[in-house]
Amino acid sequence: MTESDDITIARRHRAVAGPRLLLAIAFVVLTLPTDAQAYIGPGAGFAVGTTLFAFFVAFFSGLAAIFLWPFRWMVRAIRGRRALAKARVERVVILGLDGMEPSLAERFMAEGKLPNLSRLARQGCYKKLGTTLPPLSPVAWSTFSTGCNPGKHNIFDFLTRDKRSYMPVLSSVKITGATRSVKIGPYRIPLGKPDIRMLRRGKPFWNVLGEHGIFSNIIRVPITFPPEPFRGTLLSAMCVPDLRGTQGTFTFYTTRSETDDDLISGETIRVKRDGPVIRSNLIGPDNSISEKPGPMTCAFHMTLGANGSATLKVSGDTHELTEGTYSPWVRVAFKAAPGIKVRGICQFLLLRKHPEVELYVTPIQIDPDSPAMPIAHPSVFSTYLSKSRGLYATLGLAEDTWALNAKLLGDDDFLHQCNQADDEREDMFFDGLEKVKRGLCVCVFDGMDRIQHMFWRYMDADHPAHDGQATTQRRDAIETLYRNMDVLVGKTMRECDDDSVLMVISDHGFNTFRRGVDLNRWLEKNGYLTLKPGGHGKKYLAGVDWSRTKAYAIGLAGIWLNIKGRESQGVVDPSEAAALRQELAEQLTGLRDDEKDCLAVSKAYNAHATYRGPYRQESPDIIVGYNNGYRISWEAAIGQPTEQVFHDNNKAWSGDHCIDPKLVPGVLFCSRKIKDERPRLMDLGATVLDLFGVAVPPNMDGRPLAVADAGAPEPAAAISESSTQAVVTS
Amino acid sequence: MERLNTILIGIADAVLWCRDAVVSLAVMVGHALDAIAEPVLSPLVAFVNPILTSIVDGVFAALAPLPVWCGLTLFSVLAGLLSLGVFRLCSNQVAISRALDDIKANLLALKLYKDELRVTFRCQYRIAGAIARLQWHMFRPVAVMLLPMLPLLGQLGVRYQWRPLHPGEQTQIDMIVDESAEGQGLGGLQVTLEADPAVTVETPAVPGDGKLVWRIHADRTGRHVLKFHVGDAIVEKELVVSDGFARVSPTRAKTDWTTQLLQPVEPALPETGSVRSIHIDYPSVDSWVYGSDYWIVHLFVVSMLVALVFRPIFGVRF
Repeated sequence: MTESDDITIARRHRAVAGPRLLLAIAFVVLTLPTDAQAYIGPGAGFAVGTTLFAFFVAFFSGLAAIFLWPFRWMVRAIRGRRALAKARVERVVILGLDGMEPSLAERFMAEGKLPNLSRLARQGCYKKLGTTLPPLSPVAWSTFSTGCNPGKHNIFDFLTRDKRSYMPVLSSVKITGATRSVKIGPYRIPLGKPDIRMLRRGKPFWNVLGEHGIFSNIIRVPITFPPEPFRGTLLSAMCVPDLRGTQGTFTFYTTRSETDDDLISGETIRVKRDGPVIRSNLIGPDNSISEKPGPMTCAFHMTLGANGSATLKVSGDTHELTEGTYSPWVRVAFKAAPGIKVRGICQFLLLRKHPEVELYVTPIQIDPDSPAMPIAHPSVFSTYLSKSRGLYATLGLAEDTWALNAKLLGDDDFLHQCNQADDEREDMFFDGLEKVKRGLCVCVFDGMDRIQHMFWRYMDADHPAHDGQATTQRRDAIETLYRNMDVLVGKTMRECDDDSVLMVISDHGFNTFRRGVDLNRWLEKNGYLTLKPGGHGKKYLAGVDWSRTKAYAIGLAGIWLNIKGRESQGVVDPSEAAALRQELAEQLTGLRDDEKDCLAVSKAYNAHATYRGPYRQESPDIIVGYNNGYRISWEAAIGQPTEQVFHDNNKAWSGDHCIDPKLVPGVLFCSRKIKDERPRLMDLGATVLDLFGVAVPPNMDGRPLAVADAGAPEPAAAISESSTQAVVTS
Repeated sequence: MERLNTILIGIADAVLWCRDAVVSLAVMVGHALDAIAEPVLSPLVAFVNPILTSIVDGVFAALAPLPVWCGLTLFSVLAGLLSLGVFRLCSNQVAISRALDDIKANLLALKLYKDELRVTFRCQYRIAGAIARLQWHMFRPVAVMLLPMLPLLGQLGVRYQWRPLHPGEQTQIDMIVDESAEGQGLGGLQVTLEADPAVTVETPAVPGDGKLVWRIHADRTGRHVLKFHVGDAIVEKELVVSDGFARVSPTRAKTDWTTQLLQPVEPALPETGSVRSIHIDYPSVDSWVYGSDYWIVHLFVVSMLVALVFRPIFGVRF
């Protein structure tokens, strides 16, 4: 053999080495399972199939990630968007505790009950955080995410009114079915998807970060439904509907003949007992593809057993129920047409078996595994969370305050819902912290808001719904909640290194809600609203004589004028509107509750003079800033005029924050020193952009706070005197 | 570059060596288990085989008017449903679901966090762990599924792997004798194939490699019995000559439960005799749908599809 032959052989040897390796690996992987597949059958086949698929995807995605990473980096660098190039931090973590009240936090810190928050305040800072007008979660979190005043983001309340019908409608999202369809037999198949449109305007600051290549993980920040595309992952929250398209409709099944049928956000279904068996249907969404109108149903039957147990069969699965204990999340399917099912999840709670059977079913929520509506970005993110951590609540307002208000659920049942939702979220939050080491992580915990709403009466001895017989557990429910959140903060602090900035914030504070103000009655009494004969007690403003009404109230925030050309039956000339606003604001400011000899309204704000931006005209004309202990009455919120202005609030919903924003600032704890003495919620987005070295867009109202760099000297005092002044952001 | 190639080749060789080692170990374990199971399973298989053969014969007789593949499809469907039933009863569905969910979650995480190399590698590690758990939880149902699947494979094999001899076709018959008889010298053992009107023996017994070989010519259709005179004993072997679809029995051997499972038609040869096995070299079935080896693919694909379709009804995941 000549030398040239040797060289040729060596070259061939080199040429085949790579393919040989790949072939060898492929051979090993493919040949080993073949015998098993053939001789053991389909089960093994699927096992091997799953294995092979997972193996190949994992292997090749790993390879792709390694080989593509430099190219991605180069592309970003060439575009001038190299992530974090000008950043002062690697990561910003924002832990949102909806409704954390500064006075309670300060009290518990002073008593040594919140060691982690105290440590965070010492290490960085603690300040009160200016909230929005009105201080409502959808408004406040929209301001947080866009950095704009409500006049620019168009969210002024949970609800707004339909200008034609005066009916309340959701302010943040509009869902309409597909416009075109084709009829096949008894079915009408929609061509295209339903139109789900977010009504919040403005650009969230994480979208701006994404445009600069910075990744964000956003978990359950209110008013993020439907999710907008951006560079990151997002799970929507407040305003995500249930499967029926409502904001949460629970169902109460009972064998009792006498029940309260007039439930808010709930439905009573009477069932009959057939020996130990109870048969009924879950009520699903309307069948939009059937010619026959009406909701889809899903049959279930429950067999009562001994010792407080029962067996539930639904959607082909069997579940064991125990009296007083929630079932895990149960998958249910509603058949729309052959082969077409709408899937949801719910929990069952067998309240009691004797003397009458009572079964509570949570609102049927969108199944995160196969969502009927988009609830996450990217859409597979909800599936990822479900697969990695199990099923979880997807409804915007997952905690069923209405069932507790109606006294169908007990305090403990409600607390369970809140704690479960927070536990689910904690899992997601820490998963995000593990995955995103460079970028933004935001997670909002709602439990604090819901529990304070429902358990404030146990803290306030003067509350009309105060129960002197309450157990210690209930009296301490809010304190326990703050302690739990403190533990969460401690765990989060352990996950954050020196290159991370941790902020713990609340969108507003909290206060007692003892008395409700019926603004419609006040307007009627003062000649601004006229009712038709017998108009008292009619909901949704059905009793109002529009031809003689200048102003009306619906929703939580304030009063609308009945303006010609704007409202369908308007009577107020647009030229007179400004004067009327001013007149109403002046008359309402300082409104007193003579029965209790208390100031009821601190200040009524002329909204059009307060907000700035293109959507200012969409706001209520007057935003009412109530005094401590007051809020709009339950009746006025749903447009149901009564015969007196002030009402005792006897409901479990006993704490609130829809008052004068100066009275309910939020909190801001930060792991680094912040020099500004009056930070506002709307400043946080701009602050995060600034920390990442991204220019703040000119349309943002918020301005970056002066956050110290890592290693800056600690502040002398954790809680400064000046920080006790609340600030209104609008 | 050459050094890299050497390393890669070394890795490939190591992988192959590991594979061979695993296979060898499995074979050793298999032999050990065989030795333990043989006394129990052989009589059991001998008892079950004729019953099962009769049942399957009955089914195929009923399906005789239909195309040949229908029987295979029917049994494939049954195999799929049977597998689902076994999975339903024998598998830990909670653990399997958990492992499958973990695999899917981590695959999705690869997509969601593709820019984070750290996350990619961690997900791959977790996928490997979930795959291992999945395989572990699959072991029990798959092992249980072996019990009905092996006899079924045996029954289908004798119908679809080989076809009967056509009249006029030649083939070869091999007889393997025990080592003790072989040690005495095959020439000393009188072995003859009795004349039968169904076949023509073209060559007398030709010894070689511890076996005797005959070449025969099929003359008459039917299910015939060939008689071999081995010393004083007579050993019988079935021969099938047909133009149509029929089950055949290529091999008749001494008691061995695995061979008995896969060659279920004829009873085992007597343990005390000198003949270890007789094999007729039947032609392979020529069809892409149900022919030799393809019938396994047909069985596998159809049963998997059935399992996939009926999986929600049975409420199982795999």
